[in-house]
Amino acid sequence: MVDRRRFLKASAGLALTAAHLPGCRGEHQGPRWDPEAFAKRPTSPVAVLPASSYQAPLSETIRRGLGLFGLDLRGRRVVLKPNLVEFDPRGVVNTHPLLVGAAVEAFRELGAQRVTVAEGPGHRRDTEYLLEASGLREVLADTGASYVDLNIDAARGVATRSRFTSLGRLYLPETVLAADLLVSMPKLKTHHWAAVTLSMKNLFGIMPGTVYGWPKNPLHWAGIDNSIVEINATLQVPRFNIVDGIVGMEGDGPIQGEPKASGIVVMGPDAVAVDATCARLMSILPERIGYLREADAFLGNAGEDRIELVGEPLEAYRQDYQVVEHLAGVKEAAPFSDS
Amino acid sequence: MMTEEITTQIESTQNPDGGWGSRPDLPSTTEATALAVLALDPLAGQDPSTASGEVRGAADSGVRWLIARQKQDGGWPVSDEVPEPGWMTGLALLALKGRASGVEAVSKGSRWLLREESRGPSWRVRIVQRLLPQERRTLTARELDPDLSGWPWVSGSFHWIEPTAYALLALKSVRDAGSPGRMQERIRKGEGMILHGSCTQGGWNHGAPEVLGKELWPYPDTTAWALMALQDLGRREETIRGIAALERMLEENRSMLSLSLSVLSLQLYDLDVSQLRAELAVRVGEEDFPDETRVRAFVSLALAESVRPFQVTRNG
Repeated sequence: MVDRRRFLKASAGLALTAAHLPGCRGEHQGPRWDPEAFAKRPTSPVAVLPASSYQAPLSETIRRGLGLFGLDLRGRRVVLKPNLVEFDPRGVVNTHPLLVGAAVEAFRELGAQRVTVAEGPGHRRDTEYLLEASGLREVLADTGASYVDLNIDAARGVATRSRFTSLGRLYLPETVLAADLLVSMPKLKTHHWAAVTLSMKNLFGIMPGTVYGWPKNPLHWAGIDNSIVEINATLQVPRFNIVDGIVGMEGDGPIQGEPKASGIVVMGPDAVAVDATCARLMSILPERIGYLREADAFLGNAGEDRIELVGEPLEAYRQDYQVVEHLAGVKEAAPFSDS
Repeated sequence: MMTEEITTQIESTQNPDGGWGSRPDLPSTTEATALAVLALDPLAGQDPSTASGEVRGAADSGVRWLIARQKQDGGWPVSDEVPEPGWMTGLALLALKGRASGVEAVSKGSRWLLREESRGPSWRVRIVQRLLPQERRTLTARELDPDLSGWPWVSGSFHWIEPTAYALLALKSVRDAGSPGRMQERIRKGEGMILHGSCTQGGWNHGAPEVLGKELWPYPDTTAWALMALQDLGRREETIRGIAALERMLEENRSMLSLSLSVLSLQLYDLDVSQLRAELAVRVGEEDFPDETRVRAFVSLALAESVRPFQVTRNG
């Protein structure tokens, strides 16, 4: 339980954190998105599927999950975007390569014309090492899928479709812009600044390092929450999301947290709904997460009553994911219990 | 595959506009073009054969591409599509220094680097952080010290190891005994950022040795760049620990990038790099030799024994 004193202290910590990153509270007065430019569905389907380990038949799991959404993948060029931000042999930082390999197989079996794995790692420029050490290189060799380093891909300037940052335009990689379907494949993780890092935050990794650096610091200066929303609002490529929650990360994520076995894969076309569901699975309140609160207004559905669970019931898989102390206010445990 | 063959490979992937892309068939970027020019340069100067003439021609086209892309303010953009000047300026200077056609561009570029500052926490945040008890601070003393000022990837953001190393190497390569005190002072602040930014176990990562009180680990490539940037300070605790860390990391990381940058940096400290170079020579013959222009350029430079493209002295 989090009492009022602890909640207020945590909230102060959050405010202080935000103060480090100018723009966190929005640099623009007035409307930050045009209601006519965005049309979200009244409800969004999300599937929570059991997957006990990485040795389970994951391709079958993903195929089954994709089947729940009726995607027509025939002839499509699919880009899978896993999280490969860093490598730590002691940790579980990245989307597991076996899940990525299973997704390659599943999308091919469902008729995709080409499946490419693409990522722009956030800290390191040594792609050869990251692929080798993480095990993704072996999976790519086994499946014959090609890999594109989005950090050095050709970039095209695209005017932002919302006004959450003062960036005005985002440089996006041609590989992503040319895709018929972009599949965000994050790890189920807590994040020491953004509270969680899931399908939406994972798209920081599509932003080319040659333009934004290693790490992609201008996006931090623009406010992490604001940048997450801006990227997701601006990218107009059809999207799908598959979250690796087989073993997640709690605590000091996205790099130095602890492994947390959760035994699930979460899927869906609406990144807001998928991320909100993942937050609930971690016993974190989506409405306390800045970017989900903003995105819920125009990009997708975070509200529990607007999410249709088409797989397993959420309660069976809900766990208590720890967060760093200054984020204690995002936890579900009754923050106003003494009021 | 020998150095000449890699050089030919680089030459063959030049774009019609005279520049190079990060990979073959991608639009030209300042980074790839500057490094390709550096890689072609050693051969261009050594062999008067026809092939060498072709290589020289390719390098000259690259130089023209670079000079044409310099912005009015002296900085270089990422590419034609990304026009904002930034971190690639240091690399462009390194490629152009010593070339008669690049004198003016180098001079303007140096002035741009001298003006470019990193953006740290605001004064308000600095005060708040200093008032907090140590255990509640989320920024380190290093991050709060305005006297430690490197260079950012993108103007208006925080400083990081790699762009700071490029800028330092560029400024150090053009300075001389008559350089203004302002340049010496800027170099000193940049060196300070690197010296205070090493990881607890030695070496450097991208520029965050710790986050929220937890240590992060070093990387070989950024450690190599930091060592190159500090080469003229001689052996001191930070560089000695950095070299040891680099050697440790090489036990696990034998990527082409790590090997080639290790050769280029360790040779500046007069260390024996013959084994690393021999391994590189074997690896470049393998089927999966990277097609990244940057990596090819570093490998080419690392294999050219008589070349030390990033060597600087106390006086430039």
